[in-house]
Amino acid sequence: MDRIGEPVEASVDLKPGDASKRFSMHAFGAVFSEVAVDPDLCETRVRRIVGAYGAGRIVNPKTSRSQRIGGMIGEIGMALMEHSVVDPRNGRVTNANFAEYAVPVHADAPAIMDVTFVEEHDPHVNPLGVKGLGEIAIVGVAAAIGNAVFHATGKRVRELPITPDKLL
Amino acid sequence: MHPFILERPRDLSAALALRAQAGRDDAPIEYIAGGTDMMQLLQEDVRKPERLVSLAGLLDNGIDIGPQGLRLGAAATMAEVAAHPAVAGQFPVISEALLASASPQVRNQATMGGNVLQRTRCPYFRDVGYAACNKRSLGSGCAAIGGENRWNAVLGASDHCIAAHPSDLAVALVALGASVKVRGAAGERAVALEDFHRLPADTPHIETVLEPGEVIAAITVPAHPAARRSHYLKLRDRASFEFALVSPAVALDMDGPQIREARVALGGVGAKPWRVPKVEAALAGAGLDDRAALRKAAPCRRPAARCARRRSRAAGRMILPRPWIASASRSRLRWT
Repeated sequence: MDRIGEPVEASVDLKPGDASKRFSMHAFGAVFSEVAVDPDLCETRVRRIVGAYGAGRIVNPKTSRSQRIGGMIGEIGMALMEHSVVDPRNGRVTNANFAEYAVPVHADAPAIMDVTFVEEHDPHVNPLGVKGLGEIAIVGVAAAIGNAVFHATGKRVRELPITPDKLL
Repeated sequence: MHPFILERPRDLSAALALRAQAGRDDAPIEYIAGGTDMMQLLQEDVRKPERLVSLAGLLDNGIDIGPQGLRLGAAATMAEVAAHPAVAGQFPVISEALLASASPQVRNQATMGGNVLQRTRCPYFRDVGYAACNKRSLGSGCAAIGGENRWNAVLGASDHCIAAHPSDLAVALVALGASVKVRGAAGERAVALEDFHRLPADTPHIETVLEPGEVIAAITVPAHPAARRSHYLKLRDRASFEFALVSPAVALDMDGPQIREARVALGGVGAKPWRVPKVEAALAGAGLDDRAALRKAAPCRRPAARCARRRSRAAGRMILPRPWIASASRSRLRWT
């Protein structure tokens, strides 16, 4: 600017394209689960979870698989135990610490958590063809567990978590 | 956390004298042994003692088995007792109850005496955000009554407190007729564990028959033919590191396929470890395969229904006529 001796002006008009209207570029998944329900005690244990995901180009298969498995375990918690118990009289959460709020421990995680990535080339989503993997890890597992409990017991539990008292 | 002075007396009599200076309830001076429960209570400001008297090194941690039975030193850790081969072999219900409790880290630290004396998990007791708790402050009321009380007691509760006793070990010990050796300035006395914890009634802040300054020195379990055929079953929301929704400790003296004598206690549902003599009587003479008799023996239908008013309906159902004894009997491989 010193050399030219006058200000430089430029303007660009940038708008999103219509790719998102023309193409569906989401990540997709299908989840299957197998549970065991004790007929006397109504305790539910997850025996197996199988998930298949189409999520564009998988840049790092090892960490992607780990994130899937973490999501599966997290959703065992959602399905079977996690519950913020709110006292309706004052709105206070009565189990607001990890001593009373149960999240899954190793003993709750099934030995078999099978993760498959369906090969997918999406030329439209972005130049690398990659998609977000975070949220889809915790979509579907709780529903699959709920369906498996229904299949095992005939009881359709409409409210998570599926604790033993709801199956008695 | 409220600041406190940690006293480390040189011998037990000095510790007893220190603690005896304080009154019986809301004591400004408290003992600490393994500390796994006390530290939580301190951190949550549930307890605010001026002084903590450490019992480290002052109580014995022996585990002795003889013809009279089992003696557990008060300072023996949960892990030591659970892993002791003679305990696991001759008193399996004790070993199983311990292994169903807490986590390995906690079991390495927590002691026998402290386990029996641990405070309730009632969330309204543990959360000082609630002013009303007769255990914390007598006369302030009970926030758990009419609140979210899925975890609370349906047996032995009162209009002043519905907190449940959380120990697994104590349930197994009560089933086996264990006693507590209590030591104070005046000497030693023995108390049946069944009489050791007090029901809340109108003084829920006083939980045991311990006098100021007294400590548990040891726990004794008499030899009994049922002890060897004993089992602890723990029903809970997750598979490990969780307190019981309901937990039967069952010990059977068998005459062939028939039950000669049964000892049964329940955890997770009582204001204290809850022995059920009517169930024991109903089981005597029944066969292990006689599912009808086992179902009939399921405990406490009427008291549970009465208490279900205080509790969420779902929780009240937990100990209604579900045949948990039939379920426990499936583990009879252990019992033969």
